Amino acid sequence: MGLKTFFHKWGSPKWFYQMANAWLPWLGAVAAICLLGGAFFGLAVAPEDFKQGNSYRIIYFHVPAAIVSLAGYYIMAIAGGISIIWRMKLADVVVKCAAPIGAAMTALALITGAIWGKPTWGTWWIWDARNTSMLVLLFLYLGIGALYQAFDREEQAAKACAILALVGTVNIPIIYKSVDWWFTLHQPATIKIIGESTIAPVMKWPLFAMILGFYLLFAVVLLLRTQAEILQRERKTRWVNDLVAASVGAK
Amino acid sequence: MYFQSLADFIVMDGHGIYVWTVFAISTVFILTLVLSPIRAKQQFFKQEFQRQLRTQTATSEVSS
Repeated sequence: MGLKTFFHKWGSPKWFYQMANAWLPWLGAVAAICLLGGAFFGLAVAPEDFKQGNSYRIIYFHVPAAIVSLAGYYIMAIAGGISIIWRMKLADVVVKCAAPIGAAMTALALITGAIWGKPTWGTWWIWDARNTSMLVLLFLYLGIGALYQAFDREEQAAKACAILALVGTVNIPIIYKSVDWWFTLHQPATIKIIGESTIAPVMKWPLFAMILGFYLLFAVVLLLRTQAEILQRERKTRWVNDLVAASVGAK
Repeated sequence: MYFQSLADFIVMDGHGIYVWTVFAISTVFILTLVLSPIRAKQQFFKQEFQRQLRTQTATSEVSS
């Protein structure tokens, strides 16, 4: 597929909607298997950590949520860049739809982190580099959501949000590196893509399953939200009207 | 299975309360994330179908 056809297709809301419909059952099924399997093996089968006891099992939710909250920001910022450079409408929709999912993932990472912190660190919250930069990430996501509401005209809102998303990218490497650059209670990463991971395989595989499950969950929710937004924006078009007529006939 | 009994699995040496709270909150987050756009789509189809019906009856009344 040439670059021009690529952009033409991805710029077409109808094509995106249909593609999402084709992919959603598969993505959803694999996500469910990963999440249910990962949760079962992580909570029931993996042994306890010799230092942290059973409280370490919280990582099976905390780490995937945190990873995906960062990955989601990249997706949102890239969509913001595409929206500014090529003025692609669909990219605006993705920025708008990714922000609440990212906010939910960041909030989940912060909440689960706090619940893990209580039995492990002895405190729910500490103003260290990792926690603070994650809180900034939450405010960035919420800020982009609020900024969208602040404009009357859709194009102005999309542009402002895209710029804020791009500027906010500065925070991402700070979050990644915060555990190395500053003295902090937060432990450094135990799983590494390059080099030896410092985690036992029985504990590692459920965690990988959960991370994959959360990535797929993000994809599923992003596709669903984008579909819902496309329907709203294209409600006057022929293809959406046909879908509406067909949706009731199918019942 | 790592735990000796169901009671062990629930209590988790006193950490159960933290672990199961995280499990419950995560489940609520995941279900809300997935279900809210599905509901929004259903709502859209319902409302738009009603609107189509209204415009159809309106135009047929005008023509008759």
